[in-house]
Amino acid sequence: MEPILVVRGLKTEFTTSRGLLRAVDGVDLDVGKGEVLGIVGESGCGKTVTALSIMYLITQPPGRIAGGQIWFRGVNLLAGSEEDVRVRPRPKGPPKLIPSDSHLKRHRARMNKVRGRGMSMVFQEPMSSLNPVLRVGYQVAEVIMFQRRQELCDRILSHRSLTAEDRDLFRQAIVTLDPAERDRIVAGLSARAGLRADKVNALIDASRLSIDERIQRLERLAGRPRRADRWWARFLKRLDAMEEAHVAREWARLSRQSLGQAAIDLFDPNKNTAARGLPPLASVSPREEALELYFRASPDRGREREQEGGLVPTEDLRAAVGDLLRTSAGGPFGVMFADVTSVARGERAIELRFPARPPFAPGAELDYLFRRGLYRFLLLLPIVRTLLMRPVEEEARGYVLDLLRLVRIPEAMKVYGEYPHELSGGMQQRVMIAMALAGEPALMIADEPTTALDVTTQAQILWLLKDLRKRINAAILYITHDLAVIAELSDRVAVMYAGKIVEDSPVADLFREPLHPYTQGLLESIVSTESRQLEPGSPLPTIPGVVPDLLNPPSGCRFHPRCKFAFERCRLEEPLLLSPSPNRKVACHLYDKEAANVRAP
Amino acid sequence: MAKVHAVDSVDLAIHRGETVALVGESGCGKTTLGRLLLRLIEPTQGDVLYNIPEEEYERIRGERGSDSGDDGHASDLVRRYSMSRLRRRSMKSLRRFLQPVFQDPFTSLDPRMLIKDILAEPLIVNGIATRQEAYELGAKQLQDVGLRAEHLYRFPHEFSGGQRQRIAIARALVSEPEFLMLDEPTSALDVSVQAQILNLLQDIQQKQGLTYLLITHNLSVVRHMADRVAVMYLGRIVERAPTAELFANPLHPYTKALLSAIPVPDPSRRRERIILPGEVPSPINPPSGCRFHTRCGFVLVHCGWSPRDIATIATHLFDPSRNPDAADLTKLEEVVIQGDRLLLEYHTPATEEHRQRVERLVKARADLPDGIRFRAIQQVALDDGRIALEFLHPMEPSLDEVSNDHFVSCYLYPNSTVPGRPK
Repeated sequence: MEPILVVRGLKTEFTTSRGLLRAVDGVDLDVGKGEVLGIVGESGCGKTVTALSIMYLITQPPGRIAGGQIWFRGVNLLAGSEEDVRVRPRPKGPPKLIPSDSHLKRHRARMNKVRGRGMSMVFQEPMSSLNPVLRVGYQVAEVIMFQRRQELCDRILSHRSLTAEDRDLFRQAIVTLDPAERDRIVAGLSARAGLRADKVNALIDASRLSIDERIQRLERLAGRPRRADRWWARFLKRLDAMEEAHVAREWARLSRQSLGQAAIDLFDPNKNTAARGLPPLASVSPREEALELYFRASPDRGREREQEGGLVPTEDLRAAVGDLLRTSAGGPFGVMFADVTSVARGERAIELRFPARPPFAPGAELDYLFRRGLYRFLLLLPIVRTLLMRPVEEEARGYVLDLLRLVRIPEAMKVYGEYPHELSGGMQQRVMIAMALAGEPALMIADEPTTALDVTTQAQILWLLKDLRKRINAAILYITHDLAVIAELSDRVAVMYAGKIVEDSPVADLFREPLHPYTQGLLESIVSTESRQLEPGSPLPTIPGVVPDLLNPPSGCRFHPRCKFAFERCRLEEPLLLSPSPNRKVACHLYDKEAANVRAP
Repeated sequence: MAKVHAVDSVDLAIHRGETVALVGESGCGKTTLGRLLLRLIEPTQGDVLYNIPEEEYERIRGERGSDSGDDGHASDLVRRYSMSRLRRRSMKSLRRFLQPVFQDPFTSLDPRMLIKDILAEPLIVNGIATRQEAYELGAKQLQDVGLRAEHLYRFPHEFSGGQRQRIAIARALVSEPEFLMLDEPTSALDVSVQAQILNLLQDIQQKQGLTYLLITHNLSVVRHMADRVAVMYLGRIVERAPTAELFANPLHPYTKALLSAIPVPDPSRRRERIILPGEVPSPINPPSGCRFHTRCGFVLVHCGWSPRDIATIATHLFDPSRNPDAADLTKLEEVVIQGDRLLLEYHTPATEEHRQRVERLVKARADLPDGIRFRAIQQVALDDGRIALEFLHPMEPSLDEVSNDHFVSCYLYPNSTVPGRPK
């Protein structure tokens, strides 16, 4: 399956008073298009930090993304992040983190173009993630006003007078008995004719007027927007498009620079079996227009020869590299190298060429800066902000009602005007899901979305997620500590322990035959209503001990102090995430073929 | 101020040495019931009896059966064992035998006390031991729950969730109680730690012959731990049975939904799942009749439909400006709920033709798939120029025994009484 998100070697650390804590230590993940990947592990295993790092929501400092690449939609989300926070070692205690405000600001601005529209997140505690002083509808509308601004502006510009069909719809809405059908008609009508749904509803309920009188009132409601609103809509739309293009350019440039590590992995025969047979890579140098690859003549030659020696690339080598790139399309490397247009042969190196950038246009750049300045100035004044943004907000209302209905909130109209505390936990979580879906993301990260809810409500939410998955075709990264929920929902499971992925398997294989001793322990300690051979009342199998303190993780395999199969090597050497069989990965010395003489579990 | 009956007319007996589980969603009153049993809250009505000899228990049960409802005059027998009628001081001497373990080990331990003080406090407060003895007993107890003596001189924040829950259990056990109220003891913990705590609780019960009341929403834990289960919904017990019987043969529709809602940790098994529509109604104004009827998939005509269940639809259905089928009626002015009747007031006094029109509308609606609430309308009558829709008087199903020790409160089961017309 073609991956939509490729995470490689993600490392996130925090400085604490007791030292440097590496919460995520080299995580590799692939999420396929439309796939549900579950991440499980005990609390304190780094599941949430992984998710927050992907969204770039780690508070820096005390946090810091120390390394790794996150490829999403052709760009590396972490490109340039090494500049964001600098580390200054101190003679005593943990190193000091010095944030660079300008870099952080630019990185966040770039991420704002991906968050919501590309990937979004549902948080664990709905009550603490909704703003208690704002109405629910406004909070969802705000998301749409930010993420789908161009669409909203288009709709403001397309307002028109009523047609005969609109009038018919309105008549239907008056006579229908089913409140749900009525809501649906009103939503459709207000979307088509650019009307405010609440005003349409008020007219429908105005039973003192005859139906014809109500239609006349509706005619007056419709019509072209004011001139100022049209100007503002055009302005916003243009600014948004410019901003998007600006960020995309910047991001592409940074991502190309960070392709070096990806290229090293691509030609590493241990990590990529397709690269076997190619000469070893000596060095990589990322340039503006191309990535230059220098090869060594043979693996035996030492590094000292690199400078003068090196392989003079032949036409065959060029073709082989081209083939390698072609065959890896559709896989994780395909995602990373999607930007490469052609493979060329230089004098000393093979060049992976990128498309030429459009020439720098000072006029356009000035126009953009001017517009951005004007926008910021106008929004400084609250009264202006209210006046200008109100039509946009009203436009968003129709979208909000659609979203609330999509997540199956009954009486969406009523909920729109309510405050979060007036909703139950399940309804609040639905609102959060609606907000996450507002930008029509390709990937939704759900961080324990049902942990704070009752079983029956959890069943409702899980059913909703399954249903949504079919309808919107988004990939879901589902984080939970409940293996039963994983079994219910996901296609593939990644098991995390102490900041590392220890097993990554399709869900059916994992539950049929868990490989890693930690996964086995987790599965055995589940208390289930469908009890296996276990007699009720007999002691449950447990994993002895607790998750280690990440300030001071155990040597070698981090699970070895709790593992019943641990042997000498586990204490000394850290296991790599290897594939004992296709589709499955496990980080355990028991499955390392070179050490096949050890006892298997 | 509105009154909330968090727990309403609950009968529950817990025998010595057994584990009774109380399950239900949040807000159903299970925690309130647990606190009532320990007299952490005073009941508005009713008694909690404690330490009844077996033969007396049979007599008390007989008494309850014969004059139930006469709560004002408790017999001497009830008075003798009643805990709710004890004075403060006598109650205090009982407290050491009745101990709670709360859900969140992060908030139930005093962050400023050392573990040794936390463990010694129940003994000192209850005057069981001198300070010196208390520390020794506390240290011994701590080892019994699987922690070491070196942990005595630490503060609660230095422990993980599982360890803290062990400390909370040790604190409850140190005064040698007979009864533990376990209020969601493992819901804040990870699966692997949950298994450790459950094993510990079972161990202790076997060694010391304790009685547990296990309050939880996790049915898997119930299956593993409990001898008998009571399922609560909106302050009432809707089903009560031995654990094996309840899981093999759940009777109440709510229990069925609850059981089917638990995710199964096996991707190859796909089970039919009952998704309950809507949410738990507010206990301030619970549905009449069977409290579950508004969400029940097997609902019957006499389950307790009342005028408020159709009030909103009525404003659409009987309004000529909304519903073309009602065109020959005059303008609908008001819809009033009056006891078991819904009164429709029109602009002009209603006539017999109007009544017949409304009756036809009710009939048509009753034939639709979700028309059960309209089928509960007994009669459409004229009342002083208004049209009255008369409902059955809602009655709550009683908790009846349908098979050996399996009690259920639902009209679907033949043993339960079906209400007749209002008297």
